[in-house]
Formats: sequence, C-alpha cells, structure tokens
Amino acid sequence: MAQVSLKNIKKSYDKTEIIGDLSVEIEDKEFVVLVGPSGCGKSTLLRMIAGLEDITAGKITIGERVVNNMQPKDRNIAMVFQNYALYPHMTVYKNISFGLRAAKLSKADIKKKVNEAAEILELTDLLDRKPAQLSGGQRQRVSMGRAIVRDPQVFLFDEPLSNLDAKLRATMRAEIKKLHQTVKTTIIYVTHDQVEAMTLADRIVILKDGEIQQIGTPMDLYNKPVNKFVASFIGSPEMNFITNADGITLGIRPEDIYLADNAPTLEKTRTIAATLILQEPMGAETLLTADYDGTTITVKAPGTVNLAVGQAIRLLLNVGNGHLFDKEGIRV
Amino acid sequence: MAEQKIYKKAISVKKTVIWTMLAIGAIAMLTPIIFMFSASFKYSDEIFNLNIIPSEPTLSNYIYLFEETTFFKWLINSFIISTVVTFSVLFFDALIGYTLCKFKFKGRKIVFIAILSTLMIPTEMLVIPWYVLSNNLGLIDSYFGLMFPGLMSGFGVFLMKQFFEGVPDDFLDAARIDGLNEFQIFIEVALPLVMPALSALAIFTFLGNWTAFLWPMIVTTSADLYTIPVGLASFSGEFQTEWEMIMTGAAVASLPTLLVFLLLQRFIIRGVILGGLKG
Ligand SMILES: Nc1ncnc2c1ncn2[C@@H]1O[C@H](COP(=O)(O)OP(=O)(O)OP(=O)(O)O)[C@@H](O)[C@H]1O
Ligand SMILES: [Mg+2]
Repeated sequence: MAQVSLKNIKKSYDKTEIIGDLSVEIEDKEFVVLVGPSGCGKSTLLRMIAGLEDITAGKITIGERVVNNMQPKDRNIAMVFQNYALYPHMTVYKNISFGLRAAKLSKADIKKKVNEAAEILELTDLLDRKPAQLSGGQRQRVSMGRAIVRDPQVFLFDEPLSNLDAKLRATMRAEIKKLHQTVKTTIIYVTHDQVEAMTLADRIVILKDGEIQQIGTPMDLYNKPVNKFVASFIGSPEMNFITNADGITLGIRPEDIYLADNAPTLEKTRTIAATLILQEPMGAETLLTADYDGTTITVKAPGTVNLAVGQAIRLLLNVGNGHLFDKEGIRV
Repeated sequence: MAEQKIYKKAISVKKTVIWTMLAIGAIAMLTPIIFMFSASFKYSDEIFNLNIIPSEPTLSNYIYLFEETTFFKWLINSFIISTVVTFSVLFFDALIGYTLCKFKFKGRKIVFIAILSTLMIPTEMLVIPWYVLSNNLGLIDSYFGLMFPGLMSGFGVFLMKQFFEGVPDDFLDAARIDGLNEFQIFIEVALPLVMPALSALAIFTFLGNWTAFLWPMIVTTSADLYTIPVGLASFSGEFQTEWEMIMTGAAVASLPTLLVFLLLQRFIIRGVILGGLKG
C-alpha cells in the first residue's frame, strides 16, 4: 500500500517562497498528474517527495511512514528524469542494474530483475549498447527500466516525454499507461502538456505559482473548471473568453462554437457577428480565428469549411456548454 | 562538371597550404629533438659537428650514463614524484572542483576566488616561503619536500570545476535515488563523465613535474635526490660541460613523456566523442 500524503507543504529558497501551503492526498495505485505552467513548482514538489530537496515545513507520508527526514534511497520511490540521466559510460544493462549493484544484490538476482524489466520494456536486444547508440524513445525506456527494477512503491516522472517528437510522445504515452496497468503502483507524473495530463491521469492536480488551483478527474476539470486559469489550461485549442460590460466573462470552448449557417439545433444559444482573420485546415477539422469586437475567438469547424479571410461570419455559441466567471476569474 | 573541377582544385590548394605550414612547424619542432638523439650516439669530439648521422655511432654514452652516474636514480626520483603528484592533483583538484561546483554552502565563492588568486602568484615568488617552510619542517632533501608544493593546483581546481558545470545534476540525483553515498557518486558517476578533463590535467601535471627545475634544484642538496632536470644540469660544470651526457640524459628523459601523452591522449579523443553524443 502506498498512499502519498502531502500536508501543509511549504518550500522557500532563501526568502523566496516557491510553494505556499500545499496539501494533497494521493491514493494507492493512483495515477496523478501535476500540471502547470513553467516555473510553478512542479519539479520542486516532485523532488521534495523524492527527498532530493528539503521541505521548509509540512509533512510527507509515503505508505505508512513519514519520510521527511529519510534519504531518497529509503523512501521506496523511483524517479524518471526529463533528460533520462543515463550514464554515458555504462551499457544499458549496467545502467539498469546500477542501483541494484549499489544495494549489493547477488549477481543472479540482478540478472533476473534486469531481464524482467527488459522484457516489459522490450529492451532485451539492447542490453549491451551504450546510451549514445540508442534513439530518444529507447533511452527513455531504459530510464524507466532503471526505475522498475527498484520495485518502488511510488514512481515519480518529471516531464519524461518532453524531449521526444510528437509522434514518439504519443507512443510512449501509451507505454506509460500500459506500464501503470502492469506494475500497479502509485504514479506521480509532472508535465506541462495538458494532453498528457488528460490522457494519462486518474486525477489531475493543477498548480499555479506553487498553489493548487483544482484537483479532479480529467473530465471534472474539462467540464467544471473552477476558475479562468484552469479553464484556459485544460483543452486545446484554448477556451474563448468573452467579457461583458459588467465584468462577467463567458468562457466557451472552440468545439462549442458553430458557423451559424451550419449549426445543429441547440437549446441555449447566442449568435454573434465576427470577421475571419485566420483559417488553418488540419484535415478532419479546420481552425478558424475570428475577431469579435476586439476579442479573438477560436472555432473548431468541420474540415469541409472553406471561407475567405477577411470575410464577415456569423457564429453560433452553444451557451448551454459555456462557463461563467466573475471579475476575479472565479466560476459563478 | 567544370564547376566541380574548380572546387576540387580549390580544396587541393587549401590542402597544400595547410600541409606546408604543418611541415614547417614539424621541422621546427623536430630538428632539436633529432639533434638531441643524434648527439647521444656521438663521441664527445664529434659533438659540435652538425652531421645528423654520427660518423662512428656508439652506445657508450648510454652505458656510461646508467653505469657510472646516478642517472638511473634520478629517473626513478622523477618518476615517483611526477606520478604521486599527478595522482594527488587529479584526486584533490577533482574533489575540490566538484564540491565547489555541485554543493551550495556559505563562503563557496570566497573559497573559489582564493583558489583562483593563487594562479596569479608566480612560482619564483613562492620559492622563498616554500624554502623557509621546508627548512623549519625539516623537509629539505626529502621526497615530501620535493612534492608538497605541487600536490594540489589552483589551475586544476578551476579546470575541473568548469568541466563539472557540464555534468547535469540529474545524473547525481539519479545516483542518490539509487542509494549511492556522496563519495561513491563522485567516484563512480561524476569522475567518469569528466574523463577528458582528467586526462588533460594528468598530462599537464605529469609533464610539468617531469620537467620542473627551479624548486627541485633548491630543495635538494644530495645528488641521490635530484630529479632528471637537476641531475642533467649538474653535468654542466664550472670548467666544462659534458654535452653528450646532457643529450643522452635528455633523450632518455623524453621517452616517458611521449608514453604518457600517447597513453592518455586516447581518453581525450574518446571523451570528446562521448560528450558530443550526449543527448
Ligand atoms: N535551487 C533553486 N534556488 C532558487 N530557486 C529555485 C531553485 N530551484 C528552483 N527554483 C525556483 O523555483 C520555482 C519553481 O521551479 P520548478 O523547477 O519547480 O518549476 P517547474 O514547475 O518544474 O517548471 P518547468 O515546467 O519549467 O520545469 C522557479 O521559479 C525556480 O526559479
Ligand atoms: Mg520542472
């Protein structure tokens, strides 16, 4: 059993506060994704759980044990780094077994564990290679192998896919999901990519400036964002915001806006007139960017649409799916 | 087609220039060395002739050098001192450079600046305080007296610190999670990643000590403790200089330096390749 509980965690470097007062409970075997913009403290939080960084105040519990004063190696965690951190002078086998050798396991045990991990990650044929002879995806698999052989209670991932190209990222995303189903351990995964967050997470924790904005399942966050920040962070392309004279903002996603001539019948709608300023065909759909009284509106239109830039268009907003935010950006 | 030909010609002109320059450089540097080896096979009466092939080649200088002088002892002295100092410099400079680079502690900047500032003081100025120190501690005419000024070097600390800046912290963190202690991380993870710098530092340090003259001459009084450069200088006396012996000794002394360079150079080249592919 390995719940991870963070209670009133604070972190400052000298006098700069990075993390204010943060509490979160992570269930056993849960896949939790921490997302937020660059510099919001995701890595710092993960490194504090790993024990690579001291906490200024608060309590971290892994399983049943308070780990505040424990060395990283005693915390029963494994970590996968963004730049893989594979030792260039060691073979794949040596890289994966490095921690086991440090822990003085017998040669036979080490071999068994490495082979098991290599099997899961399809690395068996690569064990004798050096990291320089591997592709980016293979390197990332090796660094996952190094984590797996430790049999940790908790896996920590810090932006493991951000150095890979888009296609490979999709493949590796699927592999990580598969890995979670195979090894059945708690995973805490840091990313700033909302697609990764949506597809991988059981629950997402959204951070901004070291503060939790919202915790919930991907669909919770998509359907009921608690504030404008969460609303704009989750979903791609970003949600549109239209502010009226009272300062109330209507948030509406690009997929909830239609060209008026071509719209389905909906219950609560509003029609606006705008000018098309950009048309980006993506195949199955075409992204339209329009100007509405100085507000930029993005629309996800069907791929068959073909308009002229500069043309006046009428847009139908599916207000029934919209979100209202007050002056402070809080959901109303 | 025509364009390609011109292109090829341009390259060959460039190549010719490069090769000519390299050849001139090589000749300039090799000539004295060739004369040194040539002189070591000559009898003393032929020593001032400029012929490269001796008219009567002889090994008598070598035999005399090893059988009648203390040269073999000097060779051993030089070897021991250069080796010990090199290992000491590699270990301590790397350790200090690593600590200054990877750990945050109070006074880190000041320590680093203090170490750097030692680079600005020339050896000539340090020799007197070293001598006084050695005299008071009874280190005159001892191995330790010969070695202690070189056991750590400010330059090496600076070099190693700069190279460790290029080692990502994630490597060290990964090893911490794997359960290595800080000293093991230094030895097993950090050091192998800066192999090129270590090799370069080893070459500089070994050669620097192998050829060091001023301090070894000052701190030694008995011929048994001379290093090669000091010993060779003793062949040049007040009334006559035994050039053929100096040349023979220098010829023998140049061989280990070649060996060290050839041995360590491979690491530098391999290290560059490794570093280039890191990703
Ligand atoms: N050692 C340090 N000393 C001082 N400030 C630091 C240190 N490490 C991180 N910070 C600061 O803490 C904040 C959070 O950094 P952190 O690396 O956790 O961000 P992040 O959310 O992981 O960002 P990214 O998505 O870019 O990786 C940043 O403002 C950063 O400048
Ligand atoms: Mg980060």
